[in-house]
Amino acid sequence: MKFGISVSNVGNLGQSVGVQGCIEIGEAADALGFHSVWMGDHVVLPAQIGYDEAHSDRRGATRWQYPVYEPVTLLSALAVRTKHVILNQGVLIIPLRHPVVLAKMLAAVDHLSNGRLALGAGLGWMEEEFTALNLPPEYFPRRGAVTNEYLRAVKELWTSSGPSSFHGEFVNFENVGAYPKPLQKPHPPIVIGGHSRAAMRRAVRIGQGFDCTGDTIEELTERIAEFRRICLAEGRDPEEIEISKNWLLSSSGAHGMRFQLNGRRDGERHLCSGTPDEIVSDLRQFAKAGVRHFMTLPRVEGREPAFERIMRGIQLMADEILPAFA
Amino acid sequence: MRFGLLLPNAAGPARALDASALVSLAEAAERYGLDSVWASDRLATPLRGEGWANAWREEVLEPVSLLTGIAARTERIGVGTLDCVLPLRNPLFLAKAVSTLDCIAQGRLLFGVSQEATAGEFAALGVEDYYEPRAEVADEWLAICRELWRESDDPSTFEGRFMSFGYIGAYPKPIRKPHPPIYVRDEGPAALARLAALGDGLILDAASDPAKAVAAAREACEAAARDFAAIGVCAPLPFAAGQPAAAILETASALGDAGVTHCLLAPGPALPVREVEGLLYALSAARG
Repeated sequence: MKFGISVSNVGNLGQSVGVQGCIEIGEAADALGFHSVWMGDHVVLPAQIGYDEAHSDRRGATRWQYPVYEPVTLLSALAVRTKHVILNQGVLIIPLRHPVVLAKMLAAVDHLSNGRLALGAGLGWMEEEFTALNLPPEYFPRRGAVTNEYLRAVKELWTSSGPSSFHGEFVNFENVGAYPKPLQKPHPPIVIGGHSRAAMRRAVRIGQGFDCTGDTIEELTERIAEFRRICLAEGRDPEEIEISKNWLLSSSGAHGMRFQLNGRRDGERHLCSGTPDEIVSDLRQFAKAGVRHFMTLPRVEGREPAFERIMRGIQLMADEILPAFA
Repeated sequence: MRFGLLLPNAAGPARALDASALVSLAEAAERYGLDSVWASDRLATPLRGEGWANAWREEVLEPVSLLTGIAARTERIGVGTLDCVLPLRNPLFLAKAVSTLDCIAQGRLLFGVSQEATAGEFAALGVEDYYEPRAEVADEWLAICRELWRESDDPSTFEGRFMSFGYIGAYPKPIRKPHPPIYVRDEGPAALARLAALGDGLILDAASDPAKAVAAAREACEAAARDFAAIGVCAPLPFAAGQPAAAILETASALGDAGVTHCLLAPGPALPVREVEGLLYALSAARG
């Protein structure tokens, strides 16, 4: 199993670590042998959001003053301050950025990082964010179709050997030069996030990775089994697509991986929380379910500021967890 | 006189693109005492008939990304967008990206803005409707950036001719207060009005006569009761291989006489990155 660290660019995962803190988290992950760094995405945070079935806990007033460091921009800083880690987005909301802008900026990241970019792609769920960005009204209800088309446009811009042209329902361009191309050939890997059958089909058709959602081992096992069935039905070898699990927030309210070293615990133990041995045992369950790449934000529970608890968590994860899966 | 370097972030047949070399060059510029490095913007290169047959091959590293990488590897030098083409980017995305860059640069961003691109580039970005009114769009996008960058106890709201939104949070704010200095490209009367209204600096075109351009900008500022003395004036100073540092300083001095306060050293298109670094060293020695 591979391991990745979230650089905590989205403030609502807790106290903001600041942008220099995000970069230091990335540097620590790079130095301690992690495989990847990841980040979250919002272009704006609407102050009020409506009901959404999948995120029912997030309706109503938002914590709109939390900082979100723009992930595509932040990737460039991480590209030049790390040497080994894959630079991923877990996930980027594809309809929010025009594919020409996205392809161009990400190609620069691939150059700055000497070919370490991966594009994590999702649809978004917050309608108010689409509205604030003044996207056409059909974009939110049809965000799956928009995402499919934008990703195809990005691939065209990244891979065409002459001028790029694309004619779709949402995006049209003709004879556009989009150089430089990314360093990675044919293009940086695309990791699709989500849980619906449509997301799975999208991953099978255009992805090199699938970032599976699920808050319990049972959910994950079921979804990964379904994903494999879809792979086979579409004629694709499931082993070609890396299945990752982004463990940041769960419906139980647990935040990432939490090392509880003093034995004290309020109520039931959450998945990936507890002693290093308990966490290793949980992660073996994730591996058994089919997860090949596990990313999280680890913290040691205690009274220190969030940033210090995260840095201690990363060190502890490198010392106690990674060797068990080497 | 202050000195900046126009990073050769556009590659072509004579110079291969090397992103790491550009970051190293910016580090060298900081080491040799330059005040700033700048990167130009070209999101798309549409074919435009005869004479442009190979234009689409032009490799331009996206400037916000490049400058962010440079900001993360330097401590003192200013990082500037030479001509960020405002109407081609969604202003909410742009405001957040620029704010993030200024945070990474710890307040060293110089936000150079442009309203100009070809009609083909507007079409490629899906904003052909913005081509005709591009000056007004550029003004509105800057107003949106300033609204989103403003410290406030309330969410941001904006009602404009091209875009409206309400009650959103846009954090982080830039480090530099009230916001990064805005450098306006000298692109005619609308740009000069923009400069007079909210600009901190003016970026002259390589082709223009600096004394005349400065006079026009001064006139526009005076007409708007804006103190021109507070505005920095940047002008490109082209140099080629083998040019002695003394000759460059002489040109800089002449530009200074014309009212320029900030020379942007502009390496010729065929100059390898390594030779640019050699020249920065020679220039730093000649300036003492």
